[in-house]
Amino acid sequence: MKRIFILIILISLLFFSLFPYGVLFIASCSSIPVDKGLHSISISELTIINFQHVFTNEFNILLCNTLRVSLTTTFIIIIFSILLSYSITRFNFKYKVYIEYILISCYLIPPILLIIPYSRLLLAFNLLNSLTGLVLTNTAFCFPVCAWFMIRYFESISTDLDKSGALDGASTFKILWNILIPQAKTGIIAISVLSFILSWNDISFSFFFSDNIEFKTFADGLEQFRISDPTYTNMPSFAASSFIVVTIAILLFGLLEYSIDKKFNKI
Amino acid sequence: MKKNPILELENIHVEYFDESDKRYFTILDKFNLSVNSGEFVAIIGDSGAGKTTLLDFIAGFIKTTNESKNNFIYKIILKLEMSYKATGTVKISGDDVSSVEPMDRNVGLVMQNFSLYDHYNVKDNLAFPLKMKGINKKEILRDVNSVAEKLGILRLLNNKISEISGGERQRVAIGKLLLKKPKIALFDEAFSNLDFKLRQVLRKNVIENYLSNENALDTGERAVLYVTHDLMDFFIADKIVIFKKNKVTRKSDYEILYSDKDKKAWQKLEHSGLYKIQLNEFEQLFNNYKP
Ligand SMILES: Nc1ncnc2c1ncn2[C@@H]1O[C@H](COP(=O)(O)OP(=O)(O)OP(=O)(O)O)[C@@H](O)[C@H]1O
Ligand SMILES: [Mg+2]
Repeated sequence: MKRIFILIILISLLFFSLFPYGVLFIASCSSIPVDKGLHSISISELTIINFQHVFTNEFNILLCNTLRVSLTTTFIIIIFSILLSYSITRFNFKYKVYIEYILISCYLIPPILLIIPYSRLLLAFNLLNSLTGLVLTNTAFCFPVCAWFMIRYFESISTDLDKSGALDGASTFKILWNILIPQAKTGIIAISVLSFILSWNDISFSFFFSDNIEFKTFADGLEQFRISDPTYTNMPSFAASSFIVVTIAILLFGLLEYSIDKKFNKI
Repeated sequence: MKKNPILELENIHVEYFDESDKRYFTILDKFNLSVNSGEFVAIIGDSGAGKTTLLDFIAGFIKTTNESKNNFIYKIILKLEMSYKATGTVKISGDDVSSVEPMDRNVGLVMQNFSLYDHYNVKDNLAFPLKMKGINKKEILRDVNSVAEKLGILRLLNNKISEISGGERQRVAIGKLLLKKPKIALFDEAFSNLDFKLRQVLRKNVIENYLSNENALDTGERAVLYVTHDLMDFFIADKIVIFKKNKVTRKSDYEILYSDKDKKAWQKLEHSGLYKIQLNEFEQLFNNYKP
């Protein structure tokens, strides 16, 4: 009885969370413009032709940009968060609590307020309209909260493990790589997923700092498509491209989690 | 066996920073100890008396902080670093190692809470120090198997650390130390989780063999320092260090009992007043223990 109850709850949760995804899929398979709403689609009219139309030049550029920006951002954030949390938790210095305060208060600033100072900085370094600029702004935006998470994780790892590693003849780097990082694995998965999602879905930085499709990321680029197509004639391919992006994000997500999880179980 | 000091501790002084009082308090003061090669030193004392602190000092986790050192950067680090102050000299085989890193001191330590790497299995845990030394895989496997057999954990080699019991964890930690073959072996209540019988067997197989170098290839000098609350350990101890904690100042006084020709170290223990146990009771235990 209890199991059936749990099953019902799980299935309904699954239904609710997958519903938009399903709608997206149906919309991307329709052969007519869906300006009249989904109910106008009939099963017999479903087609996969939209998926073939998707891979236009622009779409490929956007996809490629987004992948590059979000993966680079994630990579940089993982490295820097680990290094920061290692130094904060393993060394004793007087004002280290304030570093944490600064970190967390950085995250409290709404991103839209950061647009102006960021754009001045990017302008100064000639990084407007470049993927580097997007990586930097995304990193700057996600880093505080990720680093803060990471510090909490490193704090929970006993310093006796460092001692043990030092006695076993491991250098500082080997202690970090062979002992602390595997112990903080769940934390690393959490921050990589977090920064990946944040930078993958980023709309405002790309919108403000790039005005050329060459340097835009996906969420922003699609939004531009939508704006430039007020009659929704291209709606199915729009849906199809969204569907592909979401699917890629989910797959990458799983891959990221799986690879970090598997990495550190052997010497 | 040659009787020259393998470990000399001179004037050890350690202060910790008390977060609630915002000041330093002394825990060890003017501590001197000299250990000869082949000796077994038992350390007892109240909880919080500084036994682990002493072992940390020997292993090099507490380094001497030298306030008169004329180095600007060093002074800044010292000012910022607030958790302890320490002075004193540690000599291993006559060499002053006070400023040497733990990994280069030739010291092994089994910690009170074992600190094994629970993302590895038992075999990888045992192999880790050897791996760090850059020994090849075949040799590692052979050594690991022989030590695991000696400690009775051979069938656990592929288990995760979370899947084995406390006593088994303790044996893995001891195994790690044995594989490293350090000159000075420090055990922090290393056998406390084992049952009486296993403890006796391991004490014979591990500690005494270790000291007598029976099946070690190198013929180096050895010494064991051993924090314990087990009366049995006193019988074979050459020296017993007793810490007495002052509840008010938190400073520990110490006393060292040596075994000499007419009296064994443990027989003097009765007079120390720390372990209030009757001498004949002691002797009875000793007679039962005698092999
Ligand atoms: N890093 C530290 N900072 C401040 N105080 C400390 C620190 N480490 C230990 N102490 C204090 O120093 C005292 C001695 O600690 P220690 O671990 O050496 O005791 P112990 O003799 O090993 O006790 P036990 O038998 O319970 O293990 C304790 O009162 C402890 O609170
Ligand atoms: Mg202790």
